[in-house]
Order: sequence, then structure tokens, then C-alpha cells
Amino acid sequence: MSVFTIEELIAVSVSKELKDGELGFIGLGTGGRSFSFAVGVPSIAIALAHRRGIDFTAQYGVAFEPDIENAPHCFDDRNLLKWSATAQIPVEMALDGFKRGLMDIGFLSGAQIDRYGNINSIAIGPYEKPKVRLVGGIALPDHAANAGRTLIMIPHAKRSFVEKVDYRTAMGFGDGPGHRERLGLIGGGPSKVFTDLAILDFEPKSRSMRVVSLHPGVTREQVESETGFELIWPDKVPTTIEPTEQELDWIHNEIDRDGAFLNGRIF
Amino acid sequence: MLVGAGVARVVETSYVGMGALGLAKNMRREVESGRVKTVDHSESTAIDIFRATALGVDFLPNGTPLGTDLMTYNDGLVEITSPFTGRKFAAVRGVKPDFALIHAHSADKHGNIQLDISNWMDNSVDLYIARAAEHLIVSVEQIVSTEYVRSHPMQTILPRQFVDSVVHAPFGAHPCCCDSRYGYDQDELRRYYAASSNPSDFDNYLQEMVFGVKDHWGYLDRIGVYGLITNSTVTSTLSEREYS
Repeated sequence: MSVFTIEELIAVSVSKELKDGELGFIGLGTGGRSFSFAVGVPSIAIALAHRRGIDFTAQYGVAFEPDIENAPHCFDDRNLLKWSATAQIPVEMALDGFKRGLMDIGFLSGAQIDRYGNINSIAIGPYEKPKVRLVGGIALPDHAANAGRTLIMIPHAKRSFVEKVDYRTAMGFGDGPGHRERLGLIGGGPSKVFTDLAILDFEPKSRSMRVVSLHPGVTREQVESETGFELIWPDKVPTTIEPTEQELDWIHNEIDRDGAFLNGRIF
Repeated sequence: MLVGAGVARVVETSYVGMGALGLAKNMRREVESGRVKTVDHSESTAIDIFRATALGVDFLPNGTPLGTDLMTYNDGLVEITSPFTGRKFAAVRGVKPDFALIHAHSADKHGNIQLDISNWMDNSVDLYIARAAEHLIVSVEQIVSTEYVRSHPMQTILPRQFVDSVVHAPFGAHPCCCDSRYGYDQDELRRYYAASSNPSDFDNYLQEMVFGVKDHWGYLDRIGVYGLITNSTVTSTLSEREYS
């Protein structure tokens, strides 16, 4: 059995979601764990997909197809501007891509998520006098409303997997089935959720979060005790497929040689 | 800093944070106490509020905020229906600030504003903010000759006719970055971040760095040549250990 980290397991799982010819947008998260989930995991996933011959285009804010294998060691704005890329486009043009429906995949993270995949990154507690004021909307609503589908990376914890998000920053399936359609949103909504315990998706009829697989060694009880709402469970729960030696070798020796992406050491 | 100094009542934007350092503590404290109100946006609607005005229209249609609480709490986002296709959008209300303050690389004495080429794309939104405002104040790193401007007209992002005032402010973005010229002063940012933990430490910081200096040059003297040159011009390579 190979030795791997949870971030590596998730990155390999996410890479299997990426299809040839697609375009995905990666925003710039913050430090530490949220960086490795929001930026590191999708970056590694895209580089892995490239190695399987999948032509997936990564757009990092204004930059197209930056050299993932040679990312700057410090994600300081100056270094990002100099990161080898095929194009830099104006900010409004980068975001117009969402509105025009050009973005196939959005990679999302946040502080809270609910059963319908709605995400909160603005305020914990009552909006006008919150318990915790968070960073703001960033581009989450643009991803969530407009991307063909969204992949959500978020650590599993009872305080973040809640019955109803305190503030709906990003539209998942809203109040449930039919809500996105009533609003005429052009994006397809949340596709899968990747946590440190499991992979989840949304049951097509109820639009409610459903367990796809549990990571090796994780129990149903563990997931239930870290989830603040009732999940849909398949009759037989599979185990998430482990990374292969080849995939780990690619990550360790070619893509993320110093662990900057997955260990969140890039700052 | 304005929030921490108690002079901002409302903050309207899509992000307030300290990047890799974490959440902005002044913002947290003042918003959580209810003293400062927030008007929240997605990045695209935060651009549209300026882009609408810059284009000479009252609003721009944008489907992004539909169904979110951005619309619940922001009366500048109103659901509308396209008269052509019946598709739903949020009308994003244009704003016309009395003043806009932007920072650029250089200007001549007439106020023709230039930006280094490496920043044209990443700073494109500044131009919408500048054009939406009633009055525009631009601080610049460097004053250049009109001959230089005239021989590099492509680098002019705002001709003088768009500009009310220019302020010569070298290291004017300090302790933040002015890409292509200098990066973040991480040491000073950490000092700021620590000071913003509570109002009394932050008051002391303001006394020392803002009210206690005569002018911008006094501020630069306070930071010192070592801090300006070393921290701002050497690429930071903070390790995990330093950040934890």
C-alpha cells in the first residue's frame, strides 16, 4: 500500500473529473490549509490530467495556462505577474468569461456549505452583527452561478457542514430542486464535494448531498458526526480509489517537488 | 486602516483581507460589533458598479448574484427581466464616487498618468474606478517628463483630461505592493497585523505611523531605508515555519 496525504488523495480524485478541452478558473485563496484546498488541489489535479493527455486549460485570475510545475515560491502579486503564462487578459474580461458561460469548471471553497451545496464566505451568524466577519464574496458567486459545473474542496467539520448556511454567498441548488432553473442560471451548479473524509455529490432528484465514497479508513459514523445535516447514503459505500505509485511519483518528482502547492507552503 | 481609524461607516466591496496573513482584524472587530456596515459583492458585480458609470449607463445586467444573499442585503442589486429574451438578471446599480484615489507608476507635471506594461491587465479595473468618479486623485511613484510621456503614449492609461490631482508619493503603496516596482513589506505588514488585534494597539500604531509623522516623507523616514529597500525589493520566501 502506498503512503499518501489526504491532499494528494483529493488532488488525484479531482483530476479524474477534468475533461479534454475544458477551461477551469482558479482563484487565489489565502494561506495555509485553505490555500492547499482552494489553489493547491486544483493545480495538482490539472497537472495530473495533463499527464494523462487531457488538454485542460487552467486560468488563474488573469493568467492563462501558467507553468504549474514552476510556480513562484511565494504567491506575492509581483511574482504572479511574472509567472510564465500564455496570456494575461484584463480582469473584467477574465470575469466576463463566467457571465458568458465560457467556464466549464469552477473550483470552490468556503467556510460553510449546506445540503444543497450553497456556500458562505461572508459572515458566520447574523449578517448585520456577525459572530465572524469573513473575507467577502470574492469570485465565488461568479463560479457558482455560471460555471458549467463546480467542484468544491472543503475540510469536513460539523461547524462547516450546516443545515443552512448563515449567508448564501454562492448559489448551489438554492432552496432545492428547480430553484436554479427558475432563476435561469446558466451554470450547472455543484457537481462534487471533496473533503478530508469523503467524496460527495448531489442526488439528481432531491438535489441533496449524497456520499459517493469514503476515504480509506474513514467510517460512516465519523462522517455523520462531522456533518450537521442528514446525508443520502448509497446501499453499499465504496472506498475512494487510492493514488497509484505513478500518480504519486508525478506529484512528488515532477509537479509539486517542494510541496508548495499541497502543503500550503507557497506563501 | 480607515476602518481601524474609525473613519469608515460603510465598506462596499468583494474582498477585505490580509492575504496570506489571514482575516483583516480591524474589519472583523468593527463589523462584528455592528459599527461598520458592509455592502457585499461578487467580484464581477463589484466591477460592474464602476463599469456602469464609466460606460455612461445607470446599471449593468449581471446574472451572477441571482438567488444569493448578496441581493437580500444590497439594494443596489435588483432582479430584472430582459425585454428581449425574458432572461433574468440582477441590475447592478452604477455608483458615482465623489472622489476616487488610485495609485500608478508615473505621471508628468500635467497629470498624464502612466502604468508600467506588466500591470496593464491586472490593474484594468482601476481605470473603471477612475472614470466613474466625480474627482480623481492619482498618487504616483515617479514624476517623468512630458517628453517621456509623448514618446511613450501607449503607456498613458489616463490622459490629464481625466485627472484632477496628482500626488508624488514614492513607495506610496507601502507596506503593500506596487507590482513591477516593489513587493510587500512583509515585516511591516506583520507589525500592522499584530497591532490591529485590538483598538489600543492599533491607536498606538496610527499615532506612530500616521499622526506622528509630518508627511509622506516622514513616514518613509520612519520605515527607514533598510525596510524600504530590503523588505520591499527582495522577493519574500516565507517558510511555513515563519507563518505558523
